Amino acid sequence: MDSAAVQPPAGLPGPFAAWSRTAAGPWTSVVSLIVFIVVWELAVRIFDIHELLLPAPSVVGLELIEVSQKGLLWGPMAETLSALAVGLVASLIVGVGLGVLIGSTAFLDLLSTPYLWALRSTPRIAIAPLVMIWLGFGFEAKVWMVFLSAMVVVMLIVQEGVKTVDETLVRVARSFGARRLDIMVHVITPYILPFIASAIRNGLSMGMVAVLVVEMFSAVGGIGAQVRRANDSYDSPRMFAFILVLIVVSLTLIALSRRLETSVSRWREEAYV
Amino acid sequence: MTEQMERHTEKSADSFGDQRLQESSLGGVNGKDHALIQVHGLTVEYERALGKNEHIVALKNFSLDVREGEFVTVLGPSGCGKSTLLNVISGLVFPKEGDVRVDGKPVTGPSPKWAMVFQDYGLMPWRTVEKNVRFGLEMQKKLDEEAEERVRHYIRMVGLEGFEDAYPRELSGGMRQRVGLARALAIEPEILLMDEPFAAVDLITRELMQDEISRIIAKTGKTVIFVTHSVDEAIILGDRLVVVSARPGRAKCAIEIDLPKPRSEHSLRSSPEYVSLRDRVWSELSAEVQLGRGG
Repeated sequence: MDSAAVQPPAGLPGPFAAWSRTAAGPWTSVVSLIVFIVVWELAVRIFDIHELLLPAPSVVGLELIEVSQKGLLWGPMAETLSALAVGLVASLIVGVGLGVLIGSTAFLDLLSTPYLWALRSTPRIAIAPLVMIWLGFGFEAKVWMVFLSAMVVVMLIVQEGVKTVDETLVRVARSFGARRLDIMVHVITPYILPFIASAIRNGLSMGMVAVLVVEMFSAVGGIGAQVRRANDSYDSPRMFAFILVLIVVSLTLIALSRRLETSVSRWREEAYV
Repeated sequence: MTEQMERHTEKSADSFGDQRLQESSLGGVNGKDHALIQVHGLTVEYERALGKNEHIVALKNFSLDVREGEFVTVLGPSGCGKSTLLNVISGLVFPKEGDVRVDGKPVTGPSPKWAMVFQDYGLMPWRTVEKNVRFGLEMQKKLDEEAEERVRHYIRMVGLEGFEDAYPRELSGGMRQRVGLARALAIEPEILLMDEPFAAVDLITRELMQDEISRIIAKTGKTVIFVTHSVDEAIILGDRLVVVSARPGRAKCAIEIDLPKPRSEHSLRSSPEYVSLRDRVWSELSAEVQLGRGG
């Protein structure tokens, strides 16, 4: 079943057949990335673009080696990611718990929904200064910022999931003598797992922004602070180097959470589309 | 064969006397036969919407006795409270008035003595066929080697060998309902409550499933209450057929079906007994359908 799903499409007829088979292979993205970097490098050299505006990939690469040797990269990255991890785990625990509670209680649902959506639509960047006034610039402030950003999203997604649980399945479980806990474990939980996975993915991207906002505001600790410092000294190659690392890290995290999402939603029809 | 048929015709013609039927089949226990399920004076109301004080009366003073090993089909227009009846018998819904007794004991909630088969299958989409069949046993905390053997046994009985690891979405409607049936059988209940189980499958599958359910019930000797809105299905499957009135539903009349078993829709269709029985049921039912439309 799985292998059938990843088979490349039958392909185009005639002269394009060979081409479309190659295009579907795993090398496509690697080749396109190499082409992209080469074009970028050539463009910078041919048009003689100033480093401040757009540094060449070779320059960024060298800068990357330098910052990593100076210890400006992995230490701050670990700081950023640990704040993200702690905030995210906390927001999952609280968000899933509250989401289930609110989603399964009509009264709470009615009461809290407007506030949740108000919180959801508030730009997080506007809360950041407040959080820093309350909690300073340290680890704690970042964790709280991640928590505040991700928790509401997690809660709303889980709440929505619980509300859409098929009533028939609950009735089925009850008819076989299931108690509240059984229904929670054997009906609600499997049903909302795909929602929780999607909440993790969304929480991750929100949390990443949140932690960077605090770090860039405060310029104390973390990868965000490094970006800010590079920016303050108009050091474009260094900024590019950090941004590059951030892109790679974020893509990796998102890819991992997507894989989690696919594996828990295998039973849903959409997963095979 | 012909003789036998004639005898049955006589018997059923005899029992067509409405008055007597209503007394014997809808009333109390009639002496020699042990009524396994006693439904007495059931009135069930639903709130129309949360908090509003409007009620829908689904069932009104509904009574029915079912003997052990009997296959009773309950036939009625849609929205007449047939499904509500099963919900009350299974202990999922509590009546405003009246009670249900099984083996003389009042029903206070779900029990391993009975199992439901649902109209829209009610399969857990994240469970494979095997795990769906095991669901009821899991809920009843039966997870020993015997439980595993039962799961295998009933998967075989409903003809789903080789599909143990398939997910419900990979199965046709008929196969999904086989899973629902195996799940109910796996807890080895005395009573099967079937809520329009074949309403969502195509006609050909439906006829095949009817044959199969007759075969399985004959083999396992369960007591069955089978709700349907198909006149043919009600006649083919039932030992006795109960027509439910338009809402609020009450048992309008009961008809013993003495046609020889095993029956199949295909061979019965042309027999005169079947045709006259069908006409009779239709006239009872159509009056109710019209009433339901008017009200």
